[in-house]
Amino acid sequence: MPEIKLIITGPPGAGKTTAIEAISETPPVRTDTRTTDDLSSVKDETTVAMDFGEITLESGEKVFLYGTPGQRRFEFMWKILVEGGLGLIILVDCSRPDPIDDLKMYLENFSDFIERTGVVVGITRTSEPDAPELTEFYECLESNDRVFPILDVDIREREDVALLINALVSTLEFSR
Amino acid sequence: MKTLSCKGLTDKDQLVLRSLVDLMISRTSDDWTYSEEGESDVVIVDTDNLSDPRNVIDEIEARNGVAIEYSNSNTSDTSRLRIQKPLRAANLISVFNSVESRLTRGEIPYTNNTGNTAGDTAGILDLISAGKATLLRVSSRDSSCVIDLSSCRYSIRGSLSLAELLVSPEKAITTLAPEEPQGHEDDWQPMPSLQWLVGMKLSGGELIGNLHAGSRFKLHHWPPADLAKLEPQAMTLSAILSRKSGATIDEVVAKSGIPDSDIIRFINGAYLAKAISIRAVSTDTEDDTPNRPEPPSKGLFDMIRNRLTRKPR
Ligand SMILES: Nc1nc2c(ncn2[C@@H]2O[C@H](COP(=O)(O)OP(=O)(O)O)[C@@H](O)[C@H]2O)c(=O)[nH]1
Ligand SMILES: [Mg+2]
Repeated sequence: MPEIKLIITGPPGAGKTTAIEAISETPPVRTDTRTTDDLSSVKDETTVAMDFGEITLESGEKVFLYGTPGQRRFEFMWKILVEGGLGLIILVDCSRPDPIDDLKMYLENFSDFIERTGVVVGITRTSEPDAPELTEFYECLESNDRVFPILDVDIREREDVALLINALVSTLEFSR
Repeated sequence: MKTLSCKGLTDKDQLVLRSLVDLMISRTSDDWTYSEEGESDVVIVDTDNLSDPRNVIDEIEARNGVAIEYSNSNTSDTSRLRIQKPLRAANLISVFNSVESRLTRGEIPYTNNTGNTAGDTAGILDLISAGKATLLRVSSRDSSCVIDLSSCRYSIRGSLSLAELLVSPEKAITTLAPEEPQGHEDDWQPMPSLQWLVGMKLSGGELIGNLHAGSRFKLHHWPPADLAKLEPQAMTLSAILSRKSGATIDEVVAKSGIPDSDIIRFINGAYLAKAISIRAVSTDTEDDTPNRPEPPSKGLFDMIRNRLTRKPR
């Protein structure tokens, strides 16, 4: 039985580590290091390699959660990481300068994987004054015939992370 | 025939009121009669003389009566009809005419409180979807809620939650004119999925007016996260209805095993939220994408869902 894995991606600071921490049974293996570049104003630590967490199903099988490194200079790792994955979670952070553009970039980079599997988009920090409306994010999906879920979430809440995974699982099961 | 009564009025005012009602009958388009007690259509409430006028008014409105405030002051922060003291025929007639015009415009009350929601509340969804009702008051027992559909916010008082109030068998629904202040402005709660929820909860087993049960429906966007938390089936229904070619109600039943009445309610909600449209019958198949791996077994998805709904560690 191949490993069951879900991949969480998104820009640095969007909440990948936080999400895995909220849902995982084991403390995530943090590979965060102190940021030395201009991100230090956003957060003290950021994911440079990847986060990892797991949940155990009643059958004893495990679902693994992998967070991709956010920065684009780690793009080369993305394709390796998604190999064999069940589906993708993209987190988009509304406190960043252009969250719509961020979403488009991740959709495009993972387009092959998304086409084969499915994606759910979690929009975080939606209370930011300049946060786009959800409908604007949906416009990014227009080229796609399947309408994937885009949900406003507080990634620090376990219930919200569970909702994202649930939406992804429903998409994988019913929306192929 | 409409009935009128009063609460808290002095004996003198009551006498004046009775004689004015006799006089009034010829001047208004409807027949009114004064009733000593019981649940009359319209109640004049002397808010200066009662210790808790708010409660008295809430009770009247909860059973779908029309309360008219009667007081010395000439300002009010609510949209309620009011008469300034002293009681004058002209004021009374003008207030009564506006009661009637509101009634004939379908504004108050909208539904009766017979407990038979099927026919009545389906009508309110048609009004909402036609853009003719954007502000509602829903009351039941001790609870009352003003629902502002255009701004996705609501303000609730009493012991029931919004979802409980919307499905309460005793509820009364009143549509309000949008420009009227509601006196609730301080405690608005935002709710992104308000239209969706109202559409689902006020559904009476039938699709909104111009939708047809045989149509193919396609979802353009999923419900906001707050709805999915209230309605566990929302994820499954959204996934099926957002497929490439959408789905008919029969197909959704077959795929999900969810009863068609629940599917209809979900579609009504999505329709009010402008999240769904009708698809021409499509010939494309769902599985025309090459290289797509075999989907994992259904058992796996169910297990993941079960695991997620379990309490954390
Ligand atoms: N104030 C606030 N903080 C948030 C919100 N969502 C996420 N965060 C914080 O944003 C940070 C996200 O960091 P992290 O999970 O390491 O992001 P990563 O780089 O994607 O792994 C965490 O400190 C979260 O607590 C939110 O809605 N409000
Ligand atoms: Mg991280």
